[in-house]
Amino acid sequence: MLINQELCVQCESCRPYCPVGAIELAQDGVVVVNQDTCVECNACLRADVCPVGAIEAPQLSWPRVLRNTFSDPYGKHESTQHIGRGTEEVKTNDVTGLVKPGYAGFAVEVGRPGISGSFRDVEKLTTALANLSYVCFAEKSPVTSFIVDRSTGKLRPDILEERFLSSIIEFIVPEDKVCEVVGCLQKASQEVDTVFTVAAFFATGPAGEIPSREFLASLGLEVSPAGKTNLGLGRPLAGR
Amino acid sequence: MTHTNHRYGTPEDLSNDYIVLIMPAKGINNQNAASKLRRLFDVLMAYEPIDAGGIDIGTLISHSIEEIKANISDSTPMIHGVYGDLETVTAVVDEVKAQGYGFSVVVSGLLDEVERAEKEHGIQRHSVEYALGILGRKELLPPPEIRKITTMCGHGLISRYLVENVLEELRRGKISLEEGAKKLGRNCVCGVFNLERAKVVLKEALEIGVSKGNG
Repeated sequence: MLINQELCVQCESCRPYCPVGAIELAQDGVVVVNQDTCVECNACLRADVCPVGAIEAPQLSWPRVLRNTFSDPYGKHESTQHIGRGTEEVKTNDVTGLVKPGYAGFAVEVGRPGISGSFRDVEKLTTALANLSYVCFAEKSPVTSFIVDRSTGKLRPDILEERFLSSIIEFIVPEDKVCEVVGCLQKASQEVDTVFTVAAFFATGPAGEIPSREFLASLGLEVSPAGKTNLGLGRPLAGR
Repeated sequence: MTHTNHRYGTPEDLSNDYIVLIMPAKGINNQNAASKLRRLFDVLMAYEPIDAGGIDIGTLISHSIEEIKANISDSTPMIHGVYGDLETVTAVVDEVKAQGYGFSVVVSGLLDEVERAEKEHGIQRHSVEYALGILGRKELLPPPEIRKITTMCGHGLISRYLVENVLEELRRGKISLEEGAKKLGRNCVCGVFNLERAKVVLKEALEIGVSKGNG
C-alpha cells in the first residue's frame, strides 16, 4: 500500500486499521507505509476512513503480489482458482472424501493469529515436515504449489522474503503418525520468527469416533473446546 | 481455509458463539448453486443471525439482506450465519437439511455441545476439525481479551491496534459498546464476526483494564 503524500493530511485515522502495524509516523511526522512490513491486505483501503482518499493500492509485480494473495481474502490463487488461502479441507470432506477414517488432515497456518509471517518461516516448517516420508502435501493448496522439491520441502527461492498475514501448509498423514507430526512441529516451532496455528481434522469411524481431545492434549497441545463439525449432510456422500 | 476455527476463549466465552457454514463442493455439486444458496440464505436469515454473509457477497454489518442476496452467484464459495445459542443452530440445520440441496454443512463452536445437540436431531457428524493451539513465538501475541476479538476474523483483518483504539474510545465515552463492536466487525468480510460476543468481551476488557502490548 502507498500513501499519496500530496493528499495526506496526517490525521492518522488509518493507522489502527493495519493488522500488522505497517502504517508508521516517520521522523518528520509524515504518515508512511513501511513497505517491508506491509502485507498488501488492503484492510486500510477497505476501512474507507481516509478523509482525502490518500491510500492507494499499487499495481504489484511478482513476487510482491503474493503478499496480496495471501493476505487479502479476495486474493485469488492460481492453484485453487478461487479466493481463500487454502483448500475446502474439512468443510466439504463429506463430499470430497479428502481425508478418510484412519488419516488426519493438518492445516498449519503460519502467521496466524494476526502476527504475519514470511515464506522463509513457511519453508522452515515444510522442510521439517518433508523429513517425514509419509507426509502428503495437499494438492491444489497454494503453499504446496510453491514447494519445488517435495522430498526436501524447499520452496521456490524467489518468494522467501515475501510476507503475508497467514499462509496454510496443508497435508495428510496416517492417523497413527499424529504424535510424530506434532513432535516435528513443536521442534520446528523453535526455529520460526512468528507464530502458527495447528488444526487437524478427522473423518469419524463407524460409531462416530475420532481421536479424543485428551489424547491430543497429552501431546502438549492447547486443544480448544471449540472446533469445526462437518455434519455429513453433503451429497453425494464420498465413499469411505 | 480454516477461517472459523481458532476462535480464542474459554468454554464460557464460546458458549454463545456458533457459526453455521454452508458450502457446495467445487466441481462436484456447485453447478447452478446460486438460486439454492439464495434460498438457504433466506433460511439463515429466518433465524435472525447475529451476523451473516460470505466473502464475495457482503455481510449483515455492512450490507442489506437484499444486497447480499443479489451478490450471490454460482461461484459464491460459501455462506455463513452466526448464532448465539445451539437451539437456534439445530433449528437452522434441520431446515437446511429439509431443503435437500446436498451442500456440506459445518457448525463451528463447542465440539461436545454440537455433537450432543445434533445427535438429538438424528445427525451423526462426518468429520471434525480440532483447533490445536498456537506454536512459535507466542510472546508476540496480544493480551487474551484482545485476542478473543481479533480471532473472530480468521483472515486476521481485525487489527489488535484497532481493538486498542476502540477500547480507548470506550474509556473516554466517545462511542457506545454497540458502535465499538460494529467498528471492529466491519473489517470482517465473511460475516462471521459475533457482535454480541464482542460487546461482552469489550465490556470485560474495560473492567479488567486491558492495556497495550503483548500478552
